[in-house]
Amino acid sequence: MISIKKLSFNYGKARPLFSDLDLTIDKGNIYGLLGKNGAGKSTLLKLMAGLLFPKEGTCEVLRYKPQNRHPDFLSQLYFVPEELYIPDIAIAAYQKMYAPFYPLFDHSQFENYLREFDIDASQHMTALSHGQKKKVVLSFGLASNCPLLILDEPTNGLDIPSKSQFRRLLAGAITDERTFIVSTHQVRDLANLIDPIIILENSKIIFQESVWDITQKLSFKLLYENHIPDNALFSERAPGGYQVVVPNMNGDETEVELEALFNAVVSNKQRIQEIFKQEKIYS
Amino acid sequence: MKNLVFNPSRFGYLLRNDIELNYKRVLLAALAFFAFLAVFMASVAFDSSGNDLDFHSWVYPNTMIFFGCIFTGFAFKEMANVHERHFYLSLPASHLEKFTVRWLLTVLGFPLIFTLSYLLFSWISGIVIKNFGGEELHVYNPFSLGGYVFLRVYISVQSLFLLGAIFFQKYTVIKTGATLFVLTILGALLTMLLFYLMFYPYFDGSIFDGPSMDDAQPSQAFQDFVEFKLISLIEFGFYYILPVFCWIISYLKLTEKEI
Repeated sequence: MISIKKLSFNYGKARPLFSDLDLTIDKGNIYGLLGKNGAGKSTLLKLMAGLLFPKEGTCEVLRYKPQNRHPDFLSQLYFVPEELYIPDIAIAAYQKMYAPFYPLFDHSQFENYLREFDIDASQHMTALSHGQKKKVVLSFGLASNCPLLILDEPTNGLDIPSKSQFRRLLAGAITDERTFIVSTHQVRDLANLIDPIIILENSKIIFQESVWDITQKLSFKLLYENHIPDNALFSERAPGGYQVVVPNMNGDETEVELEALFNAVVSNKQRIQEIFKQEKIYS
Repeated sequence: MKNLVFNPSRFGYLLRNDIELNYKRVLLAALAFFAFLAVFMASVAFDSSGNDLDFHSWVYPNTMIFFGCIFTGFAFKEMANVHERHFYLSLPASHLEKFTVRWLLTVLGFPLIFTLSYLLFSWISGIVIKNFGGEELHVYNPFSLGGYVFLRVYISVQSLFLLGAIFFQKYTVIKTGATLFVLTILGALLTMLLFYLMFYPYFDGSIFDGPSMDDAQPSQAFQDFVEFKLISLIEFGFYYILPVFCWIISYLKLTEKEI
């Protein structure tokens, strides 16, 4: 679905943000794009959407060159940015004005999503809070049924119940023909939702693995301080002990702790890469 | 919806959306303008000297060009804000459709609506003023020769402001106006320099001192060239080449826009 090869990009005369970046994304998954602030997550998403142009290399999305912004390409992609612009109109007017541009848009789905988020469709956009506007746009994006849905920091501005509603709706909307790319630095919001996981650090993709592979290669445990093994990839004080990431030498099946995984990958990049290169690390 | 580079139904949706989103703002500005014009017109009509009854023949073209430039300068107002730009560039329509909508609204939509509104205004205000004993101001005739000439001028100037609207990100009207002013000054200086070089033997140090220029009689062939060819060429360039060139560059600039 997305193929990026040797992509280089920089803003103006600044030093390159990406240099020789390679990335392949297949359909049917909710990809999580994780990274610190300023790692280049939003820039990468904008390059995929044709809103920024690569300086070198190729970027192919849905078999199109995004920078051409072909209408057929744009109608198959819906991008929910972190900061929104919504015209000063009622929700129903927004639906009437912009739904025709998306051939697979489902009006009843849109109304259902709005109901789920507890948004009244007759309301005017100016009467909505930032979080409510985000819910409208998320509902629109999901109802567009676009094969590619790009969400940049989607949970920013959502209240606690809305975050779990969002996770539920996103999980329910994914199909074998759709791909969702969710960028965030708030990894806890996306627990049990994203798979595979991509980590962007210093403008490079340093990690791209499925949750299955992660559970095969790494173990996530809560241990007492004096039980932290020497081969721990990461440990951090947590309520009830220490959250520890270790190589999965015994074939344990543990739940992936996204925050611990992210910190382990960022702090132990080389060792993690070596572990994931191995066919199997337990006997 | 077929996926052509120019799809009439997609174009129709874009045009409808643009009109629906902006008509209130434009209507408000138009009301303010005509209210101001009514006061100005009344002051002329009830002026005891009564020496300017051809009010509309200079107010209409000048105001149309002036407000047309402002309207066109905001044609791509989304570009001033990164979030609006994101929304506009992501909208599934081709660059050609997006450009054509804005081109049509500024090159045809504005003069048409403005002229019709002005015609209605001049007709109503003429009746009102006459009933109150003011001087009779003729109803504006948009199909006069003067109206046609000013429409051509408007189209050329519109193309420059449309280019400015997409070329500059913020303060597009001011920046376009300032750029045109600077370019006009530079053009004038260049012309002066050219004349100075051409007529150097007759130039006595001051800026084209009158008597010495009398000797600079150009040949008949040169006079004919200036009178019959050069002026026509300049007019052709201004009325036809300039707008087409600016529209093409504006379209290409739109295709190159990033956020």
